[in-house]
Amino acid sequence: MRTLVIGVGNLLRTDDGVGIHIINRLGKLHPGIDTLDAAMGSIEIIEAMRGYDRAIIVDAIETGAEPGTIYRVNLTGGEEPPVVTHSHGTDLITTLQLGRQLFPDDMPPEITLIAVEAGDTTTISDEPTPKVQNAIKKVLKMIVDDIAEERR
Amino acid sequence: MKTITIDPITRLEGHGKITIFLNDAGNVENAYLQIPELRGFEKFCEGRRAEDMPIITPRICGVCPVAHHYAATKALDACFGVEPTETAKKLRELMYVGYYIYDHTLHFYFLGGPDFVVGPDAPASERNIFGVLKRVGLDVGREVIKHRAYGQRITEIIGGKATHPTCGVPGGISKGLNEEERQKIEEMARSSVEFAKFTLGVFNDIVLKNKQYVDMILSDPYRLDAYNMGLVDADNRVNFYDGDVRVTDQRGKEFDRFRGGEYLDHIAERVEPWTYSKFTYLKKVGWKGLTAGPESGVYRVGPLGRLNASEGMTTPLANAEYKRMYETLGGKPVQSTLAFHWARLVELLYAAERAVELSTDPSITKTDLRNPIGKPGEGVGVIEAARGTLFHHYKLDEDAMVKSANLIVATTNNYADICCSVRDAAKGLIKGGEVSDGLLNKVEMAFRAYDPCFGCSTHSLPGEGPLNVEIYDRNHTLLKRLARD
Repeated sequence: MRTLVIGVGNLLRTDDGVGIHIINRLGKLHPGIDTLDAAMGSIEIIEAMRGYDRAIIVDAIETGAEPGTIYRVNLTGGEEPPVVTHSHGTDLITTLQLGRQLFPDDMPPEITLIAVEAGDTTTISDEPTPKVQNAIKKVLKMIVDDIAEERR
Repeated sequence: MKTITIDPITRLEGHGKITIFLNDAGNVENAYLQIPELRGFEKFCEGRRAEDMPIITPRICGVCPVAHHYAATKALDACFGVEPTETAKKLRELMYVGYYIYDHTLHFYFLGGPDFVVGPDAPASERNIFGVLKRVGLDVGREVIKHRAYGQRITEIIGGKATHPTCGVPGGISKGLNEEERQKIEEMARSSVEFAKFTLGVFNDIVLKNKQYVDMILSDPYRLDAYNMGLVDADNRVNFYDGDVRVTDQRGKEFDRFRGGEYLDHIAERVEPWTYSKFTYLKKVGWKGLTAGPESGVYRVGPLGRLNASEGMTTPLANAEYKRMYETLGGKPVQSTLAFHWARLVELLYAAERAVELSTDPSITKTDLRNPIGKPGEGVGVIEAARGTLFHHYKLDEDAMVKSANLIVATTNNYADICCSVRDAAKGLIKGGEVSDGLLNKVEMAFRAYDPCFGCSTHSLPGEGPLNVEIYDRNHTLLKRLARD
């Protein structure tokens, strides 16, 4: 089972960079796990995901919940997907739908979004806020456990 | 008075908000584009190592990373008083046209094109990439993804990373190109020429052969008589990577010409209290508010600004298309905002042809990659980002740490034009309080043509659609809310 972990977000906007922080640490701690810094999370993720069995997309989110709250959403398709508004050119759901339409045999059968509630996305800083830093540790463990489970 | 707010605007890179004020007769009194952009990036750069700037600045928003990378690298060339080697210049430019290939492709098929290919009055749910693919076919969709990836692959081979390049260093470039890599780039570049020709064919068949569209492009609500600006070579041909900044007037004559380092003598900035972004204007003419014409210092950048400010393209196919554009749209300058889409495709073809030229240049694999640098000082880097002229200006201390940084980005250069275009489109199209989905989209088209970028923001889930239209009465009581997906 081949998994690709994709980080999305802006590293310089405090908590918006949570996805990039996670894949950067993942890459250092577990060089065997494939990661991609997709920054804008635009349509290039289609090309990057092709041929993988599973993709995990890690991104920041703002729903008004407690900062650091972790959401896990199955984007594998079949059911009506939740609306994921995305500011980087084209939204995630559109991107995934497009990928499935154009490359039905190549897209990962399993796609998961792990989103972390951001507290601050307006301060220019490459350090997430403390609550989001805690969430980073939890998400890292979640991903590593997940992949270890699959490999067992 | 009614207020209509379009927030956030759909299909743009970053967030913005259009507010339209209606008078009692239901006609447009005024319209504003507010940019809720964050400030303070320049402050963030202070005290950092000079060599970190080409790595940090592409992170500003991630939409134009390669443009920021090279504006920063060129500013460092100037700060350290060094000219890059010939091979380094060619490699930088080759990587740069790769960025244009993927960026302009995205705009036509995903952001700006749906308005034409699917239709400006089509339901919002169809006016998107899926609607485009329904019209042009799934095979074309695969070609779009393939060539966008080719553009990224070209930047990755030279730049180290596709999204956030690391190759630019003062005086040159950190890594050369081997023969195997060169061949790969040549192959992708040749394919991109065919793809650009095909895309211009789509534009020709769907847009130019439709009289209604051509009339709309040339109609008054979409016209803006601004000055035009872009980088040109010694023969006044468009150059994305280097050259003089040239400004032409409303008759197409050269009005101003300067080197990047002299920008402060030619461009001034203005702050307005209702928006975070500054406005720029030509110093020689002065600021007359949000208005165009010879008396107003408002100038246009980006594909249409560049083509208007030049006298042609250096590659044969793009130059033929350049001429055809001006012949079809009534001569130079073309001041119709919707012509940005055609100009962008002329540039896509130029970028692909230039990639072939550079990748087949026998000296592109040479190993003279870097010249020795001088002492740190002050410098300006200017480059044509896909969205328009981009300036980076740094002052370094004797330890080569950044003392101050000033950035003027493409969308700031275009901000006054975009405000004028949105207002004029709203005034020309919305009458008697009739505010339909199709009309609002046509107002947005005036805006989308510029391909503006306001920097990335965060994302929301779950949420409403990305476009909210709010209509208020004169007391600012909400009368109606429309949400579009």
